[in-house]
Amino acid sequence: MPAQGMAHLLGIDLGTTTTIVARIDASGAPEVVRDWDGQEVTPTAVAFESAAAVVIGREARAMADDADHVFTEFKRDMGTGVSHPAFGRRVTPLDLSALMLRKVREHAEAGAGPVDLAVITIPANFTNAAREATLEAARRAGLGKVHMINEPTAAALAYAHASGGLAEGLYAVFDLGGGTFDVSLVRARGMDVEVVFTEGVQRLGGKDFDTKLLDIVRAGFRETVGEEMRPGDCDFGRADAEELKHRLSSRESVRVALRSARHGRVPVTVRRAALEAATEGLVAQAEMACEGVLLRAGIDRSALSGVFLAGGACRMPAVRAAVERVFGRNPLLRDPDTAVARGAALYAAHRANPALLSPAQRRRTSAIRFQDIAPHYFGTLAMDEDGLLENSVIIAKGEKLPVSRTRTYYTAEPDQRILTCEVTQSAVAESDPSMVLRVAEVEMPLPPGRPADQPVEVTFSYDLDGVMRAEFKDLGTGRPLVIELKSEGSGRGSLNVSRIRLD
Amino acid sequence: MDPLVIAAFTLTPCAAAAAWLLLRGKRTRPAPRRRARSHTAPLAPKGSDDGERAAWTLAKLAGVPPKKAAEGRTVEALLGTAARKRLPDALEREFGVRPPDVDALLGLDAARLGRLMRQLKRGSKARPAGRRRVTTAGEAIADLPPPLLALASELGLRAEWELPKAREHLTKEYLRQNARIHLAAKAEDRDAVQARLEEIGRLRRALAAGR
Repeated sequence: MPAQGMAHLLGIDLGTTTTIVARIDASGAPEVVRDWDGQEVTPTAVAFESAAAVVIGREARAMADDADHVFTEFKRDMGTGVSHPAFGRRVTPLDLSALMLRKVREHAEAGAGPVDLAVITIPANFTNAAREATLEAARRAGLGKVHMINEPTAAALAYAHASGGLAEGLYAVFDLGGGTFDVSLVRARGMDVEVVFTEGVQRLGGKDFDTKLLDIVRAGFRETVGEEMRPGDCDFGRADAEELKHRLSSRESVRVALRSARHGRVPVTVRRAALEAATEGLVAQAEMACEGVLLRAGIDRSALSGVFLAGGACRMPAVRAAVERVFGRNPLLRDPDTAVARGAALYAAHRANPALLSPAQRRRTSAIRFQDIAPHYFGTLAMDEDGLLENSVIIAKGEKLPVSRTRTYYTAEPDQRILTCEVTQSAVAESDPSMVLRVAEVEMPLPPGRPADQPVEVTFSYDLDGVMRAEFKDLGTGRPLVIELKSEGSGRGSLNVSRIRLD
Repeated sequence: MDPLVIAAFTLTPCAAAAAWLLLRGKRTRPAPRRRARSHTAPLAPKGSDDGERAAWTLAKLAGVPPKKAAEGRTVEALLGTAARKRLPDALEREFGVRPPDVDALLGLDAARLGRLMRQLKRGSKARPAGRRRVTTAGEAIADLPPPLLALASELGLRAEWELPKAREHLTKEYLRQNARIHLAAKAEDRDAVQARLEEIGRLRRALAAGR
């Protein structure tokens, strides 16, 4: 609990399946904040008992049978426009995240005072829409000042801190969480952490392994009794599958006694080999993302000094073996569940106003240096020499933040009256317009009677807080059109052009 | 009896029989009916490569010139519902091996379909038992189910590529496909992308065999 005169800094790992909170303690070190049930790890779950009564966390997850009003894994749908019915209204992933964060904030503030600054972690390949939806959820939860950091980067900070500032060299951070997978290459020198490149898979995590395990158990049930396992008949659910997965991490096989209403006790033996065979496609995806990050960064694996693991799913032997196979190094597994939250708390100390910190906190965290990169390719649509529309990248993924890039384009026709200003985003460098996400499209009026080839200067900027700004400037008139991409907080979870200014 | 009469009675039937036999051999036979084109005969001209053979097959079914079928249009774009049903038979005639479900072929153009059929043919051949050294992508994925072979073809994986090159190509394609999940507006579209990514993962696992 922060003492008087100390900053209350939170790091929140708002995960797909679990949420973990850490704060900077009196000595300036990150410590995990136990939840209202006294646990370090809180299930990310929201249940509606009525339109007004909401239950959060473990209790909500235990109510998961009432699937209509219990929501889990909503993080995967952040920024997508998905919504669910609940007692006569529709709730979005943004609403649910806001409820989760509000509960976390209220619990953290009880007895410790208001939060001065919170850092929320997000997957490295979260779209801008998802990032903005997360920020909006934090605002609705009453968290005043909020920053965000990519999950693998936060884990790297935690490892660098745990090494006592002795980390030196290039490291890979392999973060297999409950719902998403990220891998980052970071250069560390003591507490100076610089992100080199990052890749992510939005739908790959422990939850997917649990689904495969459920399938194996169902097949075992069918083999034993000759009938399908029906939901009302047998109570083996997702939480049981997760528990079974944990047991299979240390044992070659586990005998499960399923309780069926119709068939009584049904014993099923689940072997680790069966789980590994069923999940080889998932593990191979993580391997490809790792190879991709090395490939894109142009770095040979022999240049790595080590590999850090984060996320509970990294405990699976098959996953650790895959990491060793890809990077050629024995990975370091140190408290993988809480590494991301602890790193986020350290980042909060780095971003906080130094005047807020106590002398001890300042002394312990002053050495933190941090360099992040652009998480996506950002560009605009323009016509090539053949008159075909193509995506023209302006800010490349991996450029150091803050970044600002300018390119000049030219009008295509004489007497062109309208300039269509578009902002695109993609995880890979794409020229095909159908393969990129169009995040904004605005038409700018141009003066009449001018010949073709009038220069238009396009400047894209991306700041440390992930705010993207695009300026389209007609050099003939000197009039700029400014597009700032932010969520308008409509609750739809989609990214909106928050501000368009035509000077 | 006069010996001459006896000889005449004896030799006449023999001479008649010999003459009948001789004449029968010389009779003109009706010309054999020209056989209809064998149902096993391939369509494409001799010397065609796999892509051309696939293009000829598609062209025949689509009722378009083979050149048109080879222009990069997919099976889905070329063939209607009825023609798609006939596609497995036609490909079996041309390549000597039956393809997987038609649905798995819809995204392929003629060149990729040709490569897939060659891969299937290769996979259908009996191989000696025991471990052998796998050096090419084709050998590594030969035992995979046909829908995965179709996917490999669709992703542009070449059977003759050595494993490191094939793995690198697949990694690039995986990252490209992975980026598509952000473009999927509906939940079912995102599920489809996710399923596809997992299939690419299974391909990758097969390519790791020769690591």
